[in-house]
Amino acid sequence: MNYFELLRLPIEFEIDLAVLNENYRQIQKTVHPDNFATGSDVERRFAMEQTTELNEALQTLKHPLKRAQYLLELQGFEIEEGIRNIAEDFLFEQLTLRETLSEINDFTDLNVFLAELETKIQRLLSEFQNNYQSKNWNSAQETVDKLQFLYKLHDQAMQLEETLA
Amino acid sequence: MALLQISEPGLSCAPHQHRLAAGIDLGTTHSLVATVRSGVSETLPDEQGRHLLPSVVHYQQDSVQIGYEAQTFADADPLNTIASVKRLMGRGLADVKATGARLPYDFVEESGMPRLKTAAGLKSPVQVSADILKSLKNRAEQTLGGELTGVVITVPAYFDDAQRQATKDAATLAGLNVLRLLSEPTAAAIAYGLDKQAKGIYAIYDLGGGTFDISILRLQRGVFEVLATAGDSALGGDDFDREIAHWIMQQAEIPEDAAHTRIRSILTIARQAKEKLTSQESYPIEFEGWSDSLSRSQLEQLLKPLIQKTLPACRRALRDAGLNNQDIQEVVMVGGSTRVPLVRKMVEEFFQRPPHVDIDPDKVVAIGAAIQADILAGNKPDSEMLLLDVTPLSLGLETMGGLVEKIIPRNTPIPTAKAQDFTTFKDGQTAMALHILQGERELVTDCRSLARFELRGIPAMVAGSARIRVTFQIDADGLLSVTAQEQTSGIRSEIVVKPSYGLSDNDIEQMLRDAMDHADDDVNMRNLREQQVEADRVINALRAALKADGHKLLRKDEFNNINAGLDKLLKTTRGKEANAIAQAIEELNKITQTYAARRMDAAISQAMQGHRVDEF
Repeated sequence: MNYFELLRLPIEFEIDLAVLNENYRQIQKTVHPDNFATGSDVERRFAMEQTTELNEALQTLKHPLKRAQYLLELQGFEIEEGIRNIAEDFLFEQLTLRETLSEINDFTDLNVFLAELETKIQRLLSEFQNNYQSKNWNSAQETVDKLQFLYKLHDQAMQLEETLA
Repeated sequence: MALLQISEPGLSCAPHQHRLAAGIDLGTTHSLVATVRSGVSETLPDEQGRHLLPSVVHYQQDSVQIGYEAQTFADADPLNTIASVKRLMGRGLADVKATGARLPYDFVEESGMPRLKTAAGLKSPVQVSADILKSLKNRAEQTLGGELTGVVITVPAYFDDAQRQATKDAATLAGLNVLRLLSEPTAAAIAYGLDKQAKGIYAIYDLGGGTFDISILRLQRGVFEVLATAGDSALGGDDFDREIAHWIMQQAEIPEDAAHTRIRSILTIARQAKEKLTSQESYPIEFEGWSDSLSRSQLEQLLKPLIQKTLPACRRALRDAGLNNQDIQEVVMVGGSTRVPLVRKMVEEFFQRPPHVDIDPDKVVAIGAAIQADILAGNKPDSEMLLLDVTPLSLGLETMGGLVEKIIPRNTPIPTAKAQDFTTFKDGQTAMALHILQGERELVTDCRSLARFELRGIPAMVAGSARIRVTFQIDADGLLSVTAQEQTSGIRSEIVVKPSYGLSDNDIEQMLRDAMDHADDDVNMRNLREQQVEADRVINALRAALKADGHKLLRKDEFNNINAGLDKLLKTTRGKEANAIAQAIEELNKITQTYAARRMDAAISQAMQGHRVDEF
């Protein structure tokens, strides 16, 4: 059973997060180890395994990049971290963005940067959605590779936010 | 496959059989026990009607006093009167010495664990906690008229693995069956949420005597889902008292190095002033002939910087939950220090809504724990309630170059398991040491060591071809176990992480703070380490190759040329310039290109003669 089936969702990129969360909670009510607090060791171990898998499924489907990667995995593509064949102009843009981030030292600039970054991420996510629907696997994979860069940059921007605070 | 083929939990237990269960709040300054009776969760008083039990134990040669009775010995017999033992749980002697400078006890080391020297012999922090738990167990069993089936014990959300394990050990020692270790803010949320049939996103702001926790929860039809938790484990009411005491000492011109007993009296006055000023506008202070009055606004000036320190953690928890402060529907205050009006005011400003203070902040945690204990014991088979918690700190493994590979990031829902593959670094390597760490920083030296273990008997293979899969499992109590397995041979190694010490509160706070301050340093340092590791790999591989067939496949000038490149890389590797190392690796790669091609050809022609390629 794949994560979509486990959480009773259609195998699609665009999913309803409210339904995801609701289904997750419903299934947890049956499988969570707390239901077996006075049960046998076997029951408790089994419950822990089930809940562990459910949590992994939730984490995977909740995050757009992980969800995209997982969808490609289901299509038989191997997902590896790092650079494959990414267009040079994209890489150059990344360098520029990284430089911009390294020079930011106040909240206003950071918020502008984050907004810009989030727009780029949104655009790539809808690009992935199109590629996925039209089964354009190579482009879908390239989009995922690009998204890895942008999400990593987003993490770094968030880290900077903590430092500024 | 069916999702789960186990009978419903309630069915196995006989109808109408009520199992006695209790919730225990094992606190730094005081502890409580609560239980559900006739559908209502309430704390249980002692014979004198007192609900709180001071977390103090007094040891004599052949008797033990606990609580108020023990407290009376604090001045006369300080070495045998153990208070605030919660601060010592899950710690090594070194940690205790580092953080326990103010603790007036005689410590000795026994098999790596700290022990307290008392009239009743050596006592570990676990044993002292067990004595407190026994006292609460007796109170509950006498009140309820039977033996407890099980208990839920609360721990700060920020407790690490070692501290949780120590708490569980203390319960076992006290003869208690632990149904679950529960985070204190979550326990408070239960007490509030079930009471109010709540729904939506809740923030639980828990400021106690010595610790601060913030948890963001989603409540929906009895499901309490922790979305994120953060904190500052070295911040609480004790710090407020110290700040006020400092002010008094300045005003009364008392030197910083005044006798311990004088400072202790000043601290007592400071605490009284803090408590009185929650309802009064000013409070007269008198000490050794000096007198003045402290106004509420003066007090607030003193406390504001401390309370301000809780707000970044609130922001971080919100961010980790993917929310902002407008998404918070209700804010709940827990812990005695939230009685300070300025705390309420600043929390209200931050979350832009007045916080709830309707349940006694001292009792709310025990009350929530009792509700969960009742359900876990099987007394409410049709209960809709369920708690979903997260792990507060990132867990990782040490990798080459003193770096930490994060396996489970903070705020991952538990139970959880993550597997990560590692490989050998040298040809013929047969053992691998695993070092498990907790913290947010990237370098091993900046994170806290949880445990080390060794995987032996890895079949000798070429560097990089072994596949060692390490699996971290965190159970619903937040306790960690680790297994490692070499994938090609199936060799397996398993440990339950049970270290002799854990993170100190200060360490956790420091680690988080450092992670923020040094984000940049880390990136640079990480680059350097990565390049150094890569250079080592290239050097080792090249040396092995040269030894095997260098003289056979290379002319003398080619051989010397490669050796010179190798030397250059070796020298650069000792420097601090990541870029220079990367460049030297690149150069060496160019120099060895022809050699690599020849080796490949040789390998292929060997293979054609009936040898397998992977022998090379």
